[in-house]
Amino acid sequence: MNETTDDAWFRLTDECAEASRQVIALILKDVPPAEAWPVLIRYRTELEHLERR
Amino acid sequence: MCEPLSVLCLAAQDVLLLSRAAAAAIRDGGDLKATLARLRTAYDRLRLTTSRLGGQDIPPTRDNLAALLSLRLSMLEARKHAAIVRRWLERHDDPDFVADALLGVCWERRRDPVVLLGDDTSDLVAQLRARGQERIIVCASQATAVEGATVVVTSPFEVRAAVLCCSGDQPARAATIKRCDDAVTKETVIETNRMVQEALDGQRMCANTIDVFGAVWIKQGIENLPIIAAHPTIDLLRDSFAGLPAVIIASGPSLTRNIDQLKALKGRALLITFSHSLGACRRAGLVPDLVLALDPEDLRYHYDGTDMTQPEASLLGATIHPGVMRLPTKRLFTFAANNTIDSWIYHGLDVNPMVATGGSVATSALALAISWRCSPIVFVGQDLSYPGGEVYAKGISDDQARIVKRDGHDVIEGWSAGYAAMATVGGQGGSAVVLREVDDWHGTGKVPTSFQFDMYRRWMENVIKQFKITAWNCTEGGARIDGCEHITLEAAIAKLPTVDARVGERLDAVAFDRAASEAKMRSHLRVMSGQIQQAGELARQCTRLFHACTPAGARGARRAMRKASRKIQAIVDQMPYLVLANQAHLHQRTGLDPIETPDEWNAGASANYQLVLESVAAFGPLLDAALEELTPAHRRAA
Repeated sequence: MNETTDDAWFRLTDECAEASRQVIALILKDVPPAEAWPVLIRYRTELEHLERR
Repeated sequence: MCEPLSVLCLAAQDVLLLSRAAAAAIRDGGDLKATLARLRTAYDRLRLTTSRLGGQDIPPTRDNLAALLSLRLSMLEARKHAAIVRRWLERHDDPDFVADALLGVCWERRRDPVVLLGDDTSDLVAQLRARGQERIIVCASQATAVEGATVVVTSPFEVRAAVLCCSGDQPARAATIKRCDDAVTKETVIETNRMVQEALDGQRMCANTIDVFGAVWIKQGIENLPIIAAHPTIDLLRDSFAGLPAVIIASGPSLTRNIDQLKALKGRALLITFSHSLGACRRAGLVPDLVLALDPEDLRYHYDGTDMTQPEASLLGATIHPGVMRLPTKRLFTFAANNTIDSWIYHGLDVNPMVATGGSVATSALALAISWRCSPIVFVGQDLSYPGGEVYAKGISDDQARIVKRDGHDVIEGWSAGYAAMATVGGQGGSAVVLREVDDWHGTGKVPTSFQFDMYRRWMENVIKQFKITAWNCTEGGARIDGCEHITLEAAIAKLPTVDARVGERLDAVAFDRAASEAKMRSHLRVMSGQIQQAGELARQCTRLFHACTPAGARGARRAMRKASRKIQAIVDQMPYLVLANQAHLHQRTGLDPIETPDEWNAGASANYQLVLESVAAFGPLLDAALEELTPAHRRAA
């Protein structure tokens, strides 16, 4: 804890990511699969790219 | 893309670009300090927009989905850059870097406190201030002022008090704690952390309580003003019981086990109990000396069947139900059960009957016994837990209440009709209790307790330790209270010195000038009544001008509006009870941004005038009635 909590650095970023995750889950039920699919594939690719960096 | 989402995406984009810039500043030797300052501001904006996302209706379109996924990617990437910056800063000891490491980028610099430990803090305090950090608590070896620090204290216990004293926007996060010199031990850091966490829990609970009870406290407080003025306050008892043993008779289930023995202590100690324990006392044929009550609900059912002219005195919180305040008693003393929150009541009487409440009647009783310098302080029926699922001792009106399982949750069932009726005020009835286990009285096993009981127990442990109190826990069951000697009541009775308590005589010795007190209260009420009328007139004027201001173009109206707004703010500042009564509504509007969402912000301002008008309608007649009740003619007729 020298002597900094994670709050000061990551909490808001995590909260924002979580809030968007919830909204995505909510609207994904109503977006037609044919439209949602390419967007999700692109997201997955970019996520993998980000994780590799 | 829908509008709230596009605003959010722009805010997130700013955060991402500045996070990249911060990491690049480290790599390429750029101006990290300036970039972090801009990044913090970007995060402040993101905070406002994120908090509004949950309540928005986002249409399920491909564009919105793409925007949300891109937002998630931005946040993940920003987090990566923040981690790089954090790691780099933590390797550097310069106060400039330490301040950046400490504040991070997401910290709410206006609201959440930073706690610094040690004597060498002035440079870091200055750096934190330069970054916009407002609440800075320094815990040093001596209480010498440090420029820029909000407060300087000398012990972890005082840090707790300092966090509790953060008024206005209440802190929500665990404060960041930094050890600033080598003399500060790891134990002190751990203890301070624990104290800060307790204070934050207490703040949260206090805020929830104010949201629920604020308006009730004010209404009942006003209705009680004539009674309060006619009776002495507990600060007059400050020297009445010094050195006398005090027995705090709580209402836990273990009280059934040893209440019969308490009769042996009548006249040998100060017997303090709570209204809820009266049934158990009656069942055992025990007449307590002082009966304490402070909750604002209608507690009259606690007193059913008890002749309240037998106990030596009732000690009642100022905002208690007016029906309880008007029950016949041998003697009555009032006090500020909600501590400084009740200062508006006693402001005009020049008295200071504050009690460090700790959140419950049990903790208030302990605080009173400590302030009276009673010794030793003996607990009975202080289970602070639910041994065997039981809630109260036999004879208490709610003694059928038990913890039971319902749909996988622990709930308390079997409340009396009196409790069910009063629970409607606070909405507590039937809600689930989250249980946790703590050490039991014997120190050999565990006992289930609730978050609240656990918090009260820790509060007691803290004050017993801090004030070096001689305390005996003679509950013979329930939770262990560290700092107490755990002995049976029989052993305690044998150990107690033989003294003549003469409680009635001590209470009669209190000097109280009723006529002077009532005269002061009358002038206090006249001032309050004048203020509330003025606030009402200004709120009506502001509402009229508010409507005249729209559509844009009415410059004269806007100027008049600004002037009237300043006036109403000035008068409301003198009426803290008005804010207290409306706290729950005001909380909903916290964080509105006049730049991002001017319509919402405007509507919030207009709604505030409406709140003032409603408060004037609710409390104005009560103030007039209280003043009328205090007039000499009315008193003579009564």
